[in-house]
Formats: sequence, C-alpha cells, structure tokens
Amino acid sequence: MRCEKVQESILTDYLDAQMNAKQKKDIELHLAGCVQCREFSIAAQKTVIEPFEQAQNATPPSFLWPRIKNAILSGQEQKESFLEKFWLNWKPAFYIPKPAFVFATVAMFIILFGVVAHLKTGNLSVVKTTSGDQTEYLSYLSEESEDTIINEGKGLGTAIEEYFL
Amino acid sequence: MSDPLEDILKKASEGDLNAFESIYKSTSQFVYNVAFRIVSNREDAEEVTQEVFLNVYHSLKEFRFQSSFKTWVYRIAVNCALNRVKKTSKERSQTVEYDERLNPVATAHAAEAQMEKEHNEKMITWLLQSLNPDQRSCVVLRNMQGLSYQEIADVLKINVNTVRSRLKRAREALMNVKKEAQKNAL
Repeated sequence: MRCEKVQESILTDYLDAQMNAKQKKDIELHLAGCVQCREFSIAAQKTVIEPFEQAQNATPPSFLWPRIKNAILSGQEQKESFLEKFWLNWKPAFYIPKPAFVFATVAMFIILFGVVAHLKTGNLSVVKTTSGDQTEYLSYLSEESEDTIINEGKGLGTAIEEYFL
Repeated sequence: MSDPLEDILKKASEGDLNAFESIYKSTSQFVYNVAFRIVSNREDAEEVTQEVFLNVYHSLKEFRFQSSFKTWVYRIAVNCALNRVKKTSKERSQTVEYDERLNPVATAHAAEAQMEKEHNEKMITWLLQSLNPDQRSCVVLRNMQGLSYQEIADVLKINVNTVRSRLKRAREALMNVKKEAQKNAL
C-alpha cells in the first residue's frame, strides 16, 4: 500500500472510524512497518481530532427563547395588522349605512316587482290582441263604420245629436 | 399509536407555541453550537439561532418526514450560518489578516499554550477560521456534532465522496496551519 494513499485514508475514514474491519487491518499493518505514516497518523490525531474532542458545548443564552417567541408573536401581529389595515383602507368603499341599505333594498324590490308585473301584464295584452278577440274587435269597428255610413246625415236620433246638428 | 415527535410537530405547525418551545428545548443546543462554530462569534450565533427557529416555525407545515427532523434542522442551521458568514466574510477576513500581521509569533505561542493547557477554545476558533465555510461546516458536523459521512451528506445535500474530500482538504489545511504556527513559534 502506498504511503500517499494510506495518509489520505488516515485523514478521513481511519480517524473517523468509517472503514470496515479489513480496511482498518490493512492500514494498521502498513503503520506497523512505516515510521513516516505512523508519525503522520499521530500528528493528525493531535491536530484534527483531539482539539475538537475537548471542545466545550456552547449553550444558547437563556434570553434567546423569549426573544424568538416575541419575534414569532410580533410577526403574527404584523400579519394581523396588515389585514386590519387592508380592511380599514377598503372598508369605506364597501360601507353602506344600515337605514340607507334597508331603504335601497326595499326600493329595489319594489322596482323589481313593478317591472316584473308590468312585463307580465304587457305580455298578456299582447297575447290577447293576437287572439280571436282582436278579430272580434276589428269586425265590431267595421260594423260601426258601416252604420256610420248607412246613417250618414241622419244620425242616431239621440238628444245630443239633435242639439248639435 | 402516533409518534410523539410527529404530534408535537403537528401541534407546533398549527401555531401551538408550547409545542414549539419543546422543539426549541430539544434542538437549540446543537443549532446554537453549529451556528457558533461556523460564524465564530456569540452575537452572530444568537442571530443565526433566532433565524433558524423562525424559519423552522414558519416551514413546519412543509416538513414531510422525508428526512429526519434533526437532519432538516441541521440543514437550516448550516445554511443560515453559511449565509451569515458570506455576509460578514469581508470584514472577518480583514480582521484575521490584521491579527496575524500584528503578531504571528504571539498568536502561535498563545495557541500552543492553550493546546497544552487544554483550554483550547481559541485554538478551535482559530483553526476553524483557517478553513473555507464549506470545509468548516463538514468539520463542525463531523468532529463536533459526531455525524456520520452519510448524515453530513444528507444535511448538506452533497455526495458522500464530496464529504470525504472536503474533510481531507480541511484536515490537510489544519495540519499546515499548525505546522506554520509551530515554525513561527521557534
């Protein structure tokens, strides 16, 4: 096994115990017979492993959780206040006072009712005028005009006719 | 019987702050640690942690249990921390350069002394700052959070071999930095 390859393995898998039993045995065999690699292994252990093993765990300060909690709550408040502001800005555009709203609603219903009723009766009259009544009425008118022609100059002998004629 | 974590997540997603507080209690330690180790200062780590939990709170409804909840939170934490680093990287690199120029021998002396005395917090920060953000995330997740290569790959949404190669380069860089410091100390 070449020293370069061994030292590479020492810096990674060997020191981190990430190799299998056979790989580890191969490295240890090489170390037993190679002073340079053995010294390298000891130096690596002292420099890149031991100082970190002795490192103290830093503890988060006690004020950190209340600070985070406040940040969460103020974030929620900001969200709410944004919605509130949005509503307050746009509220006048949609706002109608109650009595006026009631009056407008009633007026609208009355107008609607009127329009609907008118349309219904209008339709009926149209139906009537297009029915047999219309022909009856027309024949009545023609009879009347015939009578007028027949009685032309004589009148119908009513008092009012006598007065005017 | 339903999973208690699922119940809590469901309640929290519906706006139950007590449920969300229990999520915070069980995950804030590792979120803060990851943030602190990646951004390298407490103030930024607090900001990042807050950002992570606000993100988690607002995205809970979208969580579909396709990955583990812890992996999902890790992913958000790493992403937020990396974004913070990107934002502040210019200022930070100037600060580091200034410190090193000011007294490199003293820095190396101090770092070694702290190593020997096992008060190595500054050393860790110094070592981590010598890495680029992607390498730093891998080292933090592996060395400080104990995640496997596969778990790191899931968190960062990258290939396992990419995790391996980032770790290798990161560790080579750490060894070079240490050698340089030792040379300067002599």
